[in-house]
Amino acid sequence: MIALYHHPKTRSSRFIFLLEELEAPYTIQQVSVRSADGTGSVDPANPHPHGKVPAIADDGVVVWESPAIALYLTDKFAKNGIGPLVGDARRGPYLSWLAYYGGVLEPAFMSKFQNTPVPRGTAGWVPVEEAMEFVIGTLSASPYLLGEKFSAADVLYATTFGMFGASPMMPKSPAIESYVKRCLERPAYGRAQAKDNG
Amino acid sequence: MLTLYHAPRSRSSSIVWLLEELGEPYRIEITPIVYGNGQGQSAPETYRRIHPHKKVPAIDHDGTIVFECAAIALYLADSFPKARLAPAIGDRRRGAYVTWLAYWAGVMNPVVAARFRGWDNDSPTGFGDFDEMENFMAQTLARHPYIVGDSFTAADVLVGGAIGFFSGTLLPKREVYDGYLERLAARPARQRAMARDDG
Repeated sequence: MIALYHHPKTRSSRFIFLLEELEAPYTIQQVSVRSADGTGSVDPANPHPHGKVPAIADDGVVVWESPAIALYLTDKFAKNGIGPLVGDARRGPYLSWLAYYGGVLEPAFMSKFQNTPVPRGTAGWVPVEEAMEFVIGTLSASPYLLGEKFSAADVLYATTFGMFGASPMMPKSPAIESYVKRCLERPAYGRAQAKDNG
Repeated sequence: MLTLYHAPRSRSSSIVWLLEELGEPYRIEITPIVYGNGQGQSAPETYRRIHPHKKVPAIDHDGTIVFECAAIALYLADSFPKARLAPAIGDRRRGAYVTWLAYWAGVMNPVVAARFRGWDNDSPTGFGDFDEMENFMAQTLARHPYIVGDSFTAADVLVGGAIGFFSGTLLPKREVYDGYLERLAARPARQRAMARDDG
C-alpha cells in the first residue's frame, strides 16, 4: 500500500494522477506544508526530510523528489505500461526525460521566476527558453515525450505546463496546449482531480 | 559498445569514474564545451542529436542515447547488474537510491550553485535551503558509510563527487565528509578514472 503525502493543489496532486493511471493501491495522507510566503508549517507526520510534498512511503520505504517517485512507482506497478522497464528500448529516453525534469526544467523555471542568472558552464541546467525549445520540438514531432505512448514523464510535464499555463514564463505554443489537453483529458486525471482535497 | 561524450574536468568526469566502477568496455569521445570560466569552445551543431543543449555527459549504448548524470547512472547500473552499483528493484534500499540521484540533480546542484554565486545571501532561493540540505547530507553519512547505506552505489559517484569538489570551500569541515571522501578516494576505479580524465 502506497501512502502519498499530499497537500491540495501542489506538486503532490499529480501523483494522485499517476497512482490512478497505475491502478496501484494507495492512500492519501494529507499534510500541512510551509508555504513560500511563510504561512503553514512542516507536518511531523510527513517523512520528507524538509517537510515538503510530494513524498511517498511504501511499507516504510520513503521516496521523495518527483522524478524518483515516478520511476519508483512505474517500476513497481508495471501492469498498465506507464513507464518503460529495464531492458525496454525506451528506458534510456524515459530516464533522461525524468532526470531532465528535475535537473533542468524545474531549475530553469525557478531561475526565471526568482530572476537569478543561468551561468552557462556552471549551471547543470539552461535558460527556460532553451529548455522549452527542446520540449516543444519533441512534442511537435510526437504526441508524447517518449513517442506514441503516454508515460509517467508526461504526468510530470503535462501537469506542470497545465499549472503554469497562463503564466508569462511559459512560451505560447500550440504543441504544448494540445499536449496538455491530451494528457489531462485522460480519465485518471479526472479521478485524481476529484480526490485532490482528500 | 558504450561511448561517453566527455570533456576533461567537467561533470562528465564523474561518469568516467562510474564507467570504471561498471567494469564494461567503453570508449571516450572528447567533446568540446565552453567551461564556466569562458575557456573552450562549443561543440558542432551535429552534436545536438546526442545532447539537446550540447552539454556533457551523454552516453550512447548500442544506439540508445542517455543524458543527464542521474539518468546515466540509473541506466548503466540497471543495465549491468553484475557490477552491483544499484539496489535491485524491490530491494528496500531502492527508494533511497532513486531519491538520492534525484535529490543530487534537483536540489543539491541548484542549491550549491546558489550558494556559490551568492544568490542566497539574503535568504534561501526557491531551489531550497543550503544549510538544511548540508545538514541532512551530513546526518545521512553519519548513519552509514555510503549515501544509500552500507554499500557503495552509483549515487556515491554523484554525491561523493559534489562533496569532494566543494570540500573545504562551500561545505563545512566535518569528520563524516573526511571519512567518506577517504573511502571513495581509495577505490581503484576512482584512481583509474582520474588517470583517464583527459581521454
